[in-house]
Parts: sequence; C-alpha cells; structure tokens
Amino acid sequence: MTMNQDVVFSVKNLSMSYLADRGRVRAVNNVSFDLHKGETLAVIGESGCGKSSLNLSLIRQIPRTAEIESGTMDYITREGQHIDVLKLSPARLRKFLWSEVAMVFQGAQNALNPVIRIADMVYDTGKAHGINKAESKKRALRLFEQVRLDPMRVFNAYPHELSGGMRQRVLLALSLILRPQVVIMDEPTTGVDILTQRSILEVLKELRMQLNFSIIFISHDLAVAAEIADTIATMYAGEFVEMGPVRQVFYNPRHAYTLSLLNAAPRLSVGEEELHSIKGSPPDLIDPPSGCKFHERCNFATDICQHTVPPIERDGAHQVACHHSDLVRKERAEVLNK
Amino acid sequence: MDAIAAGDAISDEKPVSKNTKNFTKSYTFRVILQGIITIWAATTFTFFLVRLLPGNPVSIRIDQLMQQGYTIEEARNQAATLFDFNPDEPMLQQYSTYMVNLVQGNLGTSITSAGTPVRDQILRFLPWTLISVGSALLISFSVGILLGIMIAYWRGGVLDNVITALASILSGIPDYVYAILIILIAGVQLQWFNVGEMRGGVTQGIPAGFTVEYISSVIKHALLPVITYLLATVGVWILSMKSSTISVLGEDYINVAKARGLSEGRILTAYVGRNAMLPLVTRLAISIGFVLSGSVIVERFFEYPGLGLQLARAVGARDYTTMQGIFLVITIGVIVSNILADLVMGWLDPRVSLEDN
Amino acid sequence: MKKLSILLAVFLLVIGAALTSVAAQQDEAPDGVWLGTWPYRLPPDHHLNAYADGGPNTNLGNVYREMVELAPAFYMWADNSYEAILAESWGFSEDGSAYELTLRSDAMWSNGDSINAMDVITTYALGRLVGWTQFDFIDTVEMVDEFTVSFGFIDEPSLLAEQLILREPLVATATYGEFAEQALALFDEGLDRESDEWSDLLVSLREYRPTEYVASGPYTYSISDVGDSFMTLSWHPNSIFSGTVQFGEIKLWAGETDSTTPLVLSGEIAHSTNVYPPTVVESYQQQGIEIVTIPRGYGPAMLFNWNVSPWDIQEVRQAVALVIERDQNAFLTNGLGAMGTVYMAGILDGNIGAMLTDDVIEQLDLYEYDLERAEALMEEAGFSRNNNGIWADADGNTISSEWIFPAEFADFAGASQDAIAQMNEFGFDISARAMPWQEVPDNIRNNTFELSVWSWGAASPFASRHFNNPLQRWVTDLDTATQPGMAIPMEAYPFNGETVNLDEMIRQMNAGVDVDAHVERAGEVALIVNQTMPYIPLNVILSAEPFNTDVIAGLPSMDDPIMLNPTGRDHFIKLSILTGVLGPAS
Repeated sequence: MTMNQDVVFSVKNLSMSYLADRGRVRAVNNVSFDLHKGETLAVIGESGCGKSSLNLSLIRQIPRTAEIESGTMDYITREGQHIDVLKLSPARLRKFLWSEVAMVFQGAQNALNPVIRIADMVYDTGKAHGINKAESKKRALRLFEQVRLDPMRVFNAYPHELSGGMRQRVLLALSLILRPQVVIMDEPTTGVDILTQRSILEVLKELRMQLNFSIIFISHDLAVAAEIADTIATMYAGEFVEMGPVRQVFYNPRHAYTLSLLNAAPRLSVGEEELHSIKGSPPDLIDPPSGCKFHERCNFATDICQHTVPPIERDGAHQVACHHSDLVRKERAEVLNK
Repeated sequence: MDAIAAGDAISDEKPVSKNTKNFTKSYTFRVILQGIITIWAATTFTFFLVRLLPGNPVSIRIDQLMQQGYTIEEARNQAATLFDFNPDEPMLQQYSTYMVNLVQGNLGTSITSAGTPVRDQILRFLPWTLISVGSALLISFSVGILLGIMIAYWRGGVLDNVITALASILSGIPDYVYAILIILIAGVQLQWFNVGEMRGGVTQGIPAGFTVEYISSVIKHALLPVITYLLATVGVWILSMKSSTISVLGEDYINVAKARGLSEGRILTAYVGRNAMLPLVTRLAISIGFVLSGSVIVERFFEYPGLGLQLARAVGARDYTTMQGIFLVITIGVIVSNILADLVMGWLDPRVSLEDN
Repeated sequence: MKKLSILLAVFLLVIGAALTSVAAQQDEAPDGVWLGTWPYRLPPDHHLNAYADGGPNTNLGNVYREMVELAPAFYMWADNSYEAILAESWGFSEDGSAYELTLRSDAMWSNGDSINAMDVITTYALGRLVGWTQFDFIDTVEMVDEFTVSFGFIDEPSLLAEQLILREPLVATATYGEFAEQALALFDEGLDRESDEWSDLLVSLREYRPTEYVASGPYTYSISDVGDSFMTLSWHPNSIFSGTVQFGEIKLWAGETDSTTPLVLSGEIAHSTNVYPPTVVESYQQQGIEIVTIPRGYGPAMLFNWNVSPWDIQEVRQAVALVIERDQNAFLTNGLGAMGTVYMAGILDGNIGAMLTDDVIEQLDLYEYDLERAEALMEEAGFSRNNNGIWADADGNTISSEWIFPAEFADFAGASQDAIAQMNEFGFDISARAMPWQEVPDNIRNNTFELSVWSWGAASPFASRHFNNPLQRWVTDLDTATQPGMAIPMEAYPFNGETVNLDEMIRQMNAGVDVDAHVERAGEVALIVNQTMPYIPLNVILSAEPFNTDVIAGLPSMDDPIMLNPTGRDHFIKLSILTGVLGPAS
C-alpha cells in the first residue's frame, strides 16, 4: 500500500479521559493518525492500554463519565466534504454513524439484541438512515452471502440460534450495510476458535478488496494484525508510541514496547520457542509514570527515560517516541539474524 | 459455503414433530399433567392443614359469641343452629367424600353458612378482587415500567432523584397504612369524599348490567382500593425496572444500537425496554396468581366485597369447605398465571422455548 | 246460581280491596332513620333461615334480631322484672310442673297472620330439633288454647328456664310450619337425634332458604336490601309496635371496629356496640359524640392450670391475687371502660347486691394490694426467695411459667401483660406469649398451657352463670376425658381441709323458683371461690358505646333503670326503639 492515497479520516491530538472513583483516568492521550482510503490501520497493545477507549472516542460513544478533552477528528466524505466529527449535533452524529463510520464491536455474544430477529436489526439500521425495508433486505442478503452465511436462514434467525462465528460474520455484514468508508473493528476475532478466526479474516480480506473501505483494526493479537494491516500503531498508556508500515514495524521495531510485544508473541518461524512475557503490568493511568511511561518495565531504560518524555522521531512513514530506538533496532536485528 | 463455514449450522430446535404420538411429550400435555398433580397436592395439603388448625367451627363460634357478651345458653343455642359440619366423621372419610365431589366439580357447601354452595360464594366475591387488585396490578406495573425505564435512561437527573426517593418511601409503607390515611385524612378530615358512600363494590340499588350507571359506579367504588394498592406497589415496580434497565444499558447490544445511529425511541423500546422487562414479566405473572387472594386488610377498611375478606372470615371461623374452595381457586390462579408467564416469556424472549427437549 | 256466585265473588273482592287499602292507610312509615352497625355477612352467605348459621342470628345479632322477630318479654335488670312484648301473661303453673305463657291476641305478623300459640309450638319444635338448651329444663311444649302454651318441666320449675322462654324470639309458622310438622311427627314416633330421619330433617332444614322474612317486629327486610356496605330494615304496618316506633328504617352498616370507626366519627353511624380502644373512644368524645357506658357482663380472669405446680396451691393463688393491683390492671385493660374487681367472689360486682346476702358480702376477702401478706402466704406454702429475689421451693426450683394470651384482643392482652409485670415484680418468673385468639381457648381446653387469660362472669341475672364462666366452662362442661381444661377437681374440690362437690353446688344453685334459696346457695359458692381463688377475676369490662345525640334523640338518662341492662340481648336500645323512646333528632 502506498501512502499517497486520499485521507478519509484524520485524527489529531485526540485526548479522552473518564472519571473513576480514585480520580481522572487519561485513557487516550494525544493520539494522531491519518487513515487513508482502503488502508487498514491495526492498533495493537495489551489490554488496558486504551484501545477500546480510542475506539469509542472515534465514534463519540464514550461512557457518560468520560469526556473528550481535546483534539480534532476530520472526516472526508466520498464527495470530498470535510466533517468535523467532534462538532456534530447529536442528530447529525446519529446520521453520520454507521453510514460513514461503522463499528464491529468486541464480544459477538452480546452485540446482538437477543429478543429480536437479525432481520429486525437490519431493518432498524436501514430505517434509521432512510433506507427502505426492501433495499435493506437486499443489501443484507448480499452481504450475508459475501461473508459466507446462508442468507435467508440467518436473516430470519434470532441471535441465539447462531454460533459465535456466525454472529461475528453477521456483525461484519451489518457494519457494511450502509457502505461506510471506515469500519472500526474491536478485537473481531477474539473469543472464536482458530478455524473461525481464519474464516473471518479471509472474508474480511475479500470484502475489503470488493468494497474498498478503510479499517481501524484493534487487536492484541500480533499475528492477526500482521496479516491484515497496512499500518501498525502500538499503543501504550493511551498513547501511540510507534506507528508505521506493517513490515517496518514488525521487522524493524524502534520502540522498546513494540519489541517486548513481538518477543511475547509465539513465533512459528523460529525453531526454539522463546517467549518473553513483559514484566510488570500496564501503568496506572490516573497517576502515570514520569518521563517515558514504559520506563518502569523497559530493559533499555536509563535515567533520561525516567525524567524526559521522549520526542516523536519520524523516519518517513515510520514514527516512534523512544529514547533508545537505535538500541531496540539493533536488538531486533540480532534476534532475526539468529 | 466453504468447509469452515459449514461447521456452523443453525441450531436445530424447531423440527420436533408434532404428531399426536408425541402428545405425551408435548408442552400442553406436560402443563396439564403438572397442573392436575399440583392441584391434587395442594388440595390434599390444605384439606388436612385447615383441619389441624386449633379449634373447630362450633367451638370457635361459641368462644366468639361469649366474647361478644352472649351467655352460655345463647351461645350454645346459636351454635346448635346447624353448622354443616360433623366433627365425629373420620377425616379420611371426609377427605374421600370431598375429593369425589371435587372431581365432579362440586366444591361442597359452606360450613358457617349452612346450605350455601362454596361455588356461589366464590362467584360472588372473586370478581371484585379481580377488578380491584387486578387493575391496580396492571396500572402499577405499567406506570412502574414506564417511570423505571425513564429514570434509568436519564439517570442522575432531577426526575431520577425525585422519583427514586419517592418510590423508596412508597414501597416501604404497607398497604393498610395508605387505607387508613386515605379514609381518615382525605375522607374524615378533608371530606374529599363521603366515607360511607365509597364503601362496597357498587352503589346499592343500581341494577347489575352493562349500563353506564353500573360500570361507572363499579369504577368509582374500586377507586380507593385501587389507589391504595397502587401506592403500596408502584414503588417496587419502579425500582426493579430501574435496576433491570440499568443492567441492560450496560449490554453491548445497546452500544451497538447507538453506534448504528438508531433513534432513541427505538432503542428505548425494542432494545432497552423489551430486555429490561423480561425479569419483571415473570414476576408480574406470578403476582397475578396471588391477586386472587386479595388483601384482607384493605378490603376490610373499605368494606370491599372481595375474596380476601371472605377468606379471612372463613379462616377465622374455621369454615373448612369455604377455605378449601378459595385455596383451590388461588392454586388454579397461580398455575394458570405460571403458564401465562411461560407463554408471555416465550413470546417476548425467543431464547425461551416451550417445546424444549 | 252462577250469577249469584259471580256477584258474591265481586262483592268479596271489593270488600277485600277496601279493607287492605284501609289497612295500608292506617299508618305511614315514620321519617326517622336509625343509623347502627352490625357485622352482617353478604349474600350468598347471608340468608333468612333462623335455624342455619348465616341467618338472622348472625346477621342481626342479639341486638337487632328483635326488631324483626319479637320475644314474649323484655328483661329489666334493675328490678329483675319482665316487660310484656308479645306476651299477655306468664308464670309458673300452680303445681310448679309447667310454665304457662299467654300471648296477646292482637299481635300480627307482617303478612297479616295472627301471632298465636301455633307459632310458639313451631319455634320450639325446631328448637328441639336443633338442640336448644331450653330442653335441659323442659320436655313438653303443649298448646293450651289459641294463645296459650304450656311448657312442662323435666324436674322442678326453673327461673333460668323462664328467662330462656320469655327472651327467645318467636318464629312464624308461615315460614317454618312445614318443618315443624315434620319435626313433631319425628318426636311422636319417639325417634332421637341419632336416627337417620332426624339428621335428614336437619339437612333439609339447613338448606331451607325463606324468601320472605315474616316479621312480628315493626321492621323486616329481604335479601335485596342487603348491600356491600349497609343493609336496611324497613318499617311495615302490621306489628304491635308499628304505631309507636319513630324510625321508618333501620340502617345497619357492615363492618367491625376498624371499619366502623370513621363512620362513627363522620356521624353516619349513630350508635355502635363494638369494642373501641380507649384512644378511639377519646376521639369520639372530642368530636362531641356521647359515650354511653353500660355493663358488658364479663372481664378478664387469670386462669391457672391446676396440673402445673405450684398453681394448685391455694396460698400461691391467694398471693397472686394480692400482688396484682387491680385498678391499674383495669386501666391497662380498657382505660376508663374497665374497673378493678372489688369483691373477688366470682360474681360480677354490679350483681353482688342482688345475688348475695349482706352477711356473705361482709365475709368476703377483698384481696387488697398487700405484698407483705402475699409474702407470708408464700412462706407458709414453703417457698422462699432465692439470691435473685425469685420465689423458689425447698429444692431451689423457681416458680417459672408461661402465660398465653390472645394477640388480637387488646383488652385481654393488656390485662395479661400488666398482671405478668406485677407478678414478676413480686418475684415470680412469668413469661408472656401472644397467639391467634382462636388458639388460646383451644390450649385451655386441651390443658396445654400453664397460665392464661379468658373471660369470667356473664351477662346473666343468675349467679350460677357467673360461676360457670370460667369454672365449669373450662372444666366440667368439657369432655374431660380428652380435654382436661384447667384441671380443677370440681367434684372433689379442696376447701377447709375437706372436699366439696363444687360442680354440683353451682349446677344446683339456680334450681327451683325460690330466690332466697338461690341467694343462699350462691353465698356458699362465693365464699369458697373467694377463699380459694381457683382463678383471679382481674377486672370487669364495661361497654363504652358511642351514641350520637345529634342524630338520635331520646337517650335515657343514666339514672333510668333501663340503663342498668348490660349490652347484648337485653340492650336498652331494643325496648327504647320499639316503644318510641328513641327517635330522630330534629
């Protein structure tokens, strides 16, 4: 993928926090990225690093105790019109959602209303955006076929009559029914067995090719991210600590945290099984560590890491915020050379 | 379909054949059988239980009359005036006679109104309880559901704080306190209504029938008991609906629905409301069963001619046959309302299948 | 011939019509409405058969039934005399073998029939069929002439029987004649209660539902007059009292104490015999409603189980009588509507003067509150206080008992709790247990109690009835083989080192017609009861009845002799309504 294509979603300096019992949690901190037409951006990181908060911020469905503190979200329609997402009125936001930016939520078990048929959910979605029943049904059946479901049976089924994998594909189909430019997918393959996971990824790739939409793909599974993404962003403590084209990030990671993630993932390519779990646990976001937020868990950490927030270094499309990016690159190179 | 997808199939639950052969396995058969067994067990249980209560109709009546200042002769003469009761008859024989009659649909005659069929007593008093407690329950349920869902959806607001506080207070006060307050404050002190006129089920002298005059009189007389029941029960419905709604609001499918841009009205009804109501519908159906027993104290304060008052009188006077008849009606009511709960749940919640296994 | 008979028929019709219209115009219903209350039952439980439960006895009670069905006479407690109602004359036959009752010849039923001896025969035929207590005294009921009936005694003549005969309302042959005929036929055949014919007749009598209430009193009603909230008795012109009563209607509100309270307050009930708690009575007075206080005829008594030690010991029971301050107990029973027992003789204080001689009264121990005397009695009985101040026997076993009382009856519960507190203060160890009222008599009957409370005395002019409750009611009136009751040895009662047959003494007390003999026999028993305290008569409850003089005029003053009548069967309002003393306030 080249980076020259048109930008569809440009997020700048987005920060979001919410109120917990102990204080304010800075869940998304100064996140910026440009999503291009047809691009798949995978956001990786441990649980609790702020991936889901980022997601909800992108569609402005944050919890009532949360607040988007700063930033801009510029969305460019197919017609080239710019939409300032953060300034949309509730009614306009309602129209915007799903038709421009749709979302496949985590946890297929609960994402469908258990008491109504899939058909009703299709119709509800259509009706909310001015699409009549016949058209909604036509589109849904076509999509169900594309995600390799038996269209009529699924259309008339209740959620509990479907397996987990089928539900995940229904959600995927449902997210595309209004032909959005952007689909946010939050751990879409979590909680399904490995065969189903494969099948969903295959379907997703096909669909992306046919329909040409952009994806923001949230995952803690690096293998999945590597397979589907064009761009990888590593998220730590609410921040994008590294972002770059998928090959660069995987083969030449420059942030110590990215490296730790890669070392912690099982690799089939390497003969000996050498798994290094990351020591410690994700930082407290109410009272985050000083300097580089990763320094407490970092093998490369030095004094500077404790005191100084690392600046963002850019190398073409690859950007990183780490004091010891060179050391990290070296170490990765050694591992791969083995 | 590829090989992987073929692994997923719509779970097969429907195609159980509905031949008459399978009638014995069918829901209907199961329900009828269970119903009959429950009725038999409950009837047998109450038959012996009521007879184990201390005292018998005759001794209780004599004690009661002497307590009212009758002399022993007067009390005995009155007690001699024909109770439909023979204390010397062996209990098992009474039981078999009763069951044989019951199978033929004969509930027997009242002991303390010798010669009056229990069936007539039930037909006379049951409708009033159904009207008053039944309509109060339905109104209370509807209001509770509506307010509960509203304050849960907009929780934290003024409406939520006021209604939640009010509901907690209301639900903490027993129904008879409302009855007393209504009569003494609204009736006697403020004279908003005439205490005597509002008594009973209908104004005396209006012929029964589907006339405007009769029906409006029935409504007027049911007003005070209904308000009493309403005040005593609506709080609980509001609070349960609120907590049920709050737990549903945390479900993923609500977030998904919002992300899909659905209108708030649609989300509130089909997504929040319908799911939040499920646990309450079961409770409603079970409450309907107990509606039949009415509320003794409320019916006494308003002299409302319901079954509760009749049951209390029958228990107090040890009128075994009347007690059994009323308990039988309550048993049937509970069974029917449970079936109703099953049906309604099956209709509201597709996950509940009546034809399971 | 034909023409003549037609003419005759027309003539008779005209005469008949003229006569009935004259009768109808004779009297118009008075304007007044009596506003009372009675806990009547609703149809279909409510019916007009006086011989089945759910009939007039239940629905009109002993206060209002005589507004519809009159008795031969009304009893005046002040001078122990009878006022004629339906009776013209009455008395024992010269040889004392029978009681003769002659009805007045001008009395009519509401249907126009004359009230005569046949109605008495009907009343008693059915009374015998259902087993009235009158037949403990009499065995024959015979018509002497059209208006006279003779009741033959089994043994000696009895004043108790006289009272029962004169105060029993008569029923109409028009209503019950067929059943009476069948009953009389059974008696003639010599069949008894055990026979199938007898029980078959009882069953058909039980199921009988008269459609019309044929009345001798000035009021009657039909089932359609019975509503959910009130029933109405309406005036008719044929009664001997139709011309004197001032009320055209008697309106009876349904309900008991709880539900009648607001109606008394709002003036819709002018008079009620319900027992209202002292605080409610006070609020009536604040509303300006008169409270008429008349005897009720009983009070709470502390009952002992004589099978439970030490309550079989006379000194211990006497000590109990001495340590309970009875005026306080009375106040906690029913406020000012109760009075501590004074004479402690087993006869209600109000009747002591009529039932005992002055000589006996002087001998009575009044058991005035006296802790020292009580201590002496306890020590005499071999008890002493232990380290905790609790009375214990020589082996150190403390006197610990449980006292059961009815939870629903505020008066009995109040009396119990106060008595327990006072006894514990003296050093007994009594615990209290409340239970549903129906269970208390059952436990007493079955001897499954240690201490309890129930009524003593009776609204009866016969001393034996006062002693009967509770002495025989809870002992020898029971089937003692299965129900020992209080387990008092009534037939061999310990007294002054000997034993007496207390049961027989009480049963014989009012036998015969010699009033002096009654008094003498009552005196003997009173002294035994007074000295041995088989139970403790704690206090006497009065009936504090609201009477709204804004609605009803003519309330007799408290000096009026009729106000000595207790509530219930001889209630003053009964005669006062019939004779027109009570009327609507203008």
